[in-house]
Amino acid sequence: MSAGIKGHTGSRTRSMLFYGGDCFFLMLIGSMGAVVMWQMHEWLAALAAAMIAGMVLAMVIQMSLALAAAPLLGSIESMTPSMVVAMLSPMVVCVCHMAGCELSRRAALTLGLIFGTVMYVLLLFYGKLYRRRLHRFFPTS
Amino acid sequence: MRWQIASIWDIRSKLYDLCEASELRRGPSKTALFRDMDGRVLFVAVGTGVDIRHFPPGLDITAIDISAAMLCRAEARRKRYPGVLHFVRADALNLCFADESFDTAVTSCTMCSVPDPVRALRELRRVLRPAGQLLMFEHVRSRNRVLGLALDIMNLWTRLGGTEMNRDTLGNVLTAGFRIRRVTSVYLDIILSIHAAKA
Repeated sequence: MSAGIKGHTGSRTRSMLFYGGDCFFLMLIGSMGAVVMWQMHEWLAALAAAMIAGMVLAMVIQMSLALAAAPLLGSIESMTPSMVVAMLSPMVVCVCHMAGCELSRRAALTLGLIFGTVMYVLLLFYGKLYRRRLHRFFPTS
Repeated sequence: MRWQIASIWDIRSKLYDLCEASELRRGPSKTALFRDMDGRVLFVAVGTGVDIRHFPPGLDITAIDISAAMLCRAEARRKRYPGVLHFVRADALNLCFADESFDTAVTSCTMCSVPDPVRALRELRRVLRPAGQLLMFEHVRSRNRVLGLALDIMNLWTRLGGTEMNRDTLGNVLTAGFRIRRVTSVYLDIILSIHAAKA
C-alpha cells in the first residue's frame, strides 16, 4: 500500500517536473524568437529582409535548443510545440512592427514569454481534451 | 533499398541513445505497455536496446533489427535481460518467421521508420497466432491542424534520415486487419501506446 502511494507520488512529481520543463522551454523559445526578430528589425532596414532573417535565425535557434533539450524533455516533445512557438512568436513582433507599434527589447522579450506560456497552456488543454476523447472511445484507457 | 535503410540506421545508431531515445520521459509509459507482453514475443526494431530494461523478466523474446550496428550496440543490454532474448537481423517488411509463430508482437517507434508501414503490419499479423496481441509505442501525426503542420514541416528533413513524422499509424493498424482495443496518450495525440489484437 505504502509502496503504491510512494509510486503514485513519485509519478506525480515526475509529471510536475516535466510540466515545468515544458513550460520553461516554450517560454525560452518564445522569448528568443521574439528578441531575435526584434533585433533583425533593428539591424535591417528592409522589412522583408528582416522578416526572413529573423524567421530563419529563430528556427535555427529553436532546433538547436530542442536538440539540446531532447535527452531531458524528449525529442518529439521538445521539438514539435517549440517549432510552432518559434514560427509564431517572431511573427507577432513583425505584425507589431508593421502596425507601427515599435517595441522595446524588453517588450519583445515579455511578448515572447507570454506567447510561450499561452502556447503551453493551450497544449495542456489540448492534451486533456484528447485524453478525455480517448477515454470515451476506449473506456479502459 | 533494404541495405540503404540499414546503412542509415547504422549511422544513426551512434547518437541514437543521446538524441532520440528520450528514455527519461518515455520510460514509465513503455514499462506500462510492455507489462502486457505474453507468451512468445516478437519485438520489431530493437535498435540500441534502450527498451530492453522495460521488458518484464522471464519471457522468451525474439528481437529483430535491420541494422547490424544497432544490434551490436544492443548486445550488452541483451546480456543483462533476465530471460531469453534472441537477436535476429531481419527486415520488418519481410519477416523470416513461420505463420502464427508468436503470441505478442511489439513495436517501439518503428512504424515511422519502415518504408511501407501497412506491409510491415500485415507481416506482423501473419506471424501472430489467432487473437495474438500487438503492442505499439508509436509517434503519429497530430490531428490538430497547427501541430500537424509542424510535424509535416519537420518531416521535410527527418525523412532524409529515415523517419516519417506524420504517419496515420492508427489507420494503418486497422487497414492491416487488427482490432484496436485501447489507446493511451503518452504525449498529446502525438505519442501513443496502442493495444491491438489480430482480428
